[in-house]
Amino acid sequence: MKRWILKNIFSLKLVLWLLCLLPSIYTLTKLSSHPDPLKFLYNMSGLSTFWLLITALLIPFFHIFGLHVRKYSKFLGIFSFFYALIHLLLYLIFESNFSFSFILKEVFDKPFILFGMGLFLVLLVMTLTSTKKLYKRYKKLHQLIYLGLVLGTFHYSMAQKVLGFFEYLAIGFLLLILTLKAYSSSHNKKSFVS
Amino acid sequence: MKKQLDITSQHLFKARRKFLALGAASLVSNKEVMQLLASAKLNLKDLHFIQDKNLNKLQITDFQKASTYNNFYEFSTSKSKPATMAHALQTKPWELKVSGLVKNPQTFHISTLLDTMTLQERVYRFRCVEGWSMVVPWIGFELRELLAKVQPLSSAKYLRFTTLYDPKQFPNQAKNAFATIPYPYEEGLRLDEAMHNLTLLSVGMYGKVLPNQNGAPIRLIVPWKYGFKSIKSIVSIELTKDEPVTTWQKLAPNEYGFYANVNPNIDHPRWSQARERRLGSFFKQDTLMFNGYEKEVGFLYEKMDLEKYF
Repeated sequence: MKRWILKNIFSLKLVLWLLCLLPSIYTLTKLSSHPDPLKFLYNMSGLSTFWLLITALLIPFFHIFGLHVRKYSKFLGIFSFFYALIHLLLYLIFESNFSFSFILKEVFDKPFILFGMGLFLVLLVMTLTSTKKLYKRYKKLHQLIYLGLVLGTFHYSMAQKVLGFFEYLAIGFLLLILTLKAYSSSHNKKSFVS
Repeated sequence: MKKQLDITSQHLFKARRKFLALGAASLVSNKEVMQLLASAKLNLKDLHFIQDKNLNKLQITDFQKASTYNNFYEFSTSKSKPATMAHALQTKPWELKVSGLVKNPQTFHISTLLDTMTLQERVYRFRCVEGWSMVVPWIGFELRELLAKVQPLSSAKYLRFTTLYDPKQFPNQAKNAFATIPYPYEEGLRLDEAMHNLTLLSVGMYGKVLPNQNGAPIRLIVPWKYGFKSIKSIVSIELTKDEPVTTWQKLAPNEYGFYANVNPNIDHPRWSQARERRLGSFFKQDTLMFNGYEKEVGFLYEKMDLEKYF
């Protein structure tokens, strides 16, 4: 029995790896034929960051359905950071030419860039403090992720010319997560999501 | 015996060369073959026109890219989808009504226009407000030639253009409250902008009639303005006394003005307009004032505050 569980956990992890790498594989196969490859890279890395983060923040609540999968949150969160890093590197290489003054000007000129940078910083801090030892010490700090998600949703929505179905979907998921979080915090002092 | 084995015989050597050449050719030409296939599949009619010598030596964007990366919200807000949906648009017969403050209002059949107007090719830069750009060899006639036929009255100061409204053909127009933008799509020009010889009514591109996703059967091309001004699939041009309110103005008046001239010095409130990406390129290039047509159109805006009239 124990062995069976171990084996299945292993394969679930494998599925997660594949799931998280799927956007990369898809992007690489489509890149050369895309009319605007850089925009495509931005979109794919950004969307992957966002939806992996949504998943990471949503699965702790799956215990409602008897699914205790919250331990995979960290894995998904780190992958979300990985895509955010690619997203930022694209900006640094192709947009800013690594010019610090350019970035500073953009960050304070264009709120959506500021918001994006905000989410990146939150993800960076969380990834750096995601080891067992550091997590225990900085557990409270990890609540920042909800602020990060709000910033990320603004960043995503404001980058579009006009809000469409997927942007409304993103805002919907943001509200869902914030509601669940607020509900669980108020109903349980020993919050089951941290 | 051993020596002989080391030497490759002449015909094998040549065969190998030919094989390698074929391999290399297939790598290089794959893109061109794909493009030929793409345009052949669309089955677009050839046009007769006066060729543009492309004196500025602009590097023309591939047909494949220009015909599969389209903002055509009536079909979808995705840029790749219009190319897969637009075949359903019925462009024949098609009528273009020119009305309002004109001496001689008329309704033109697109087939008559194709037969009677002298078509010219114009290789223009095309700059989208979203930050990408391309170079397209459009085919059409100057808008002023059409206006000459209807004779604008002296009271006419502006033009209002309208795209076809037909929710049966344009799925997004049927979505009512969930439609991303208000329909029908409307655009406008000042009369002197419309009379400028760069302003084109386009019926084709790349030697053939327009693919539906590029705004068939007739669209506007104003090369010094952001792409959204170049309204697609036009059914009506109305000459008016007052400045018409455009679709994007209705949606976000602080972000999209009536003029929408390409201007690298005035940013969109949310993103920079200083540079642009040519389709297919990873790197950006500087955006030119009035999209590189400052010499030709600068006088139209000489005494205007471009910060205010953006």
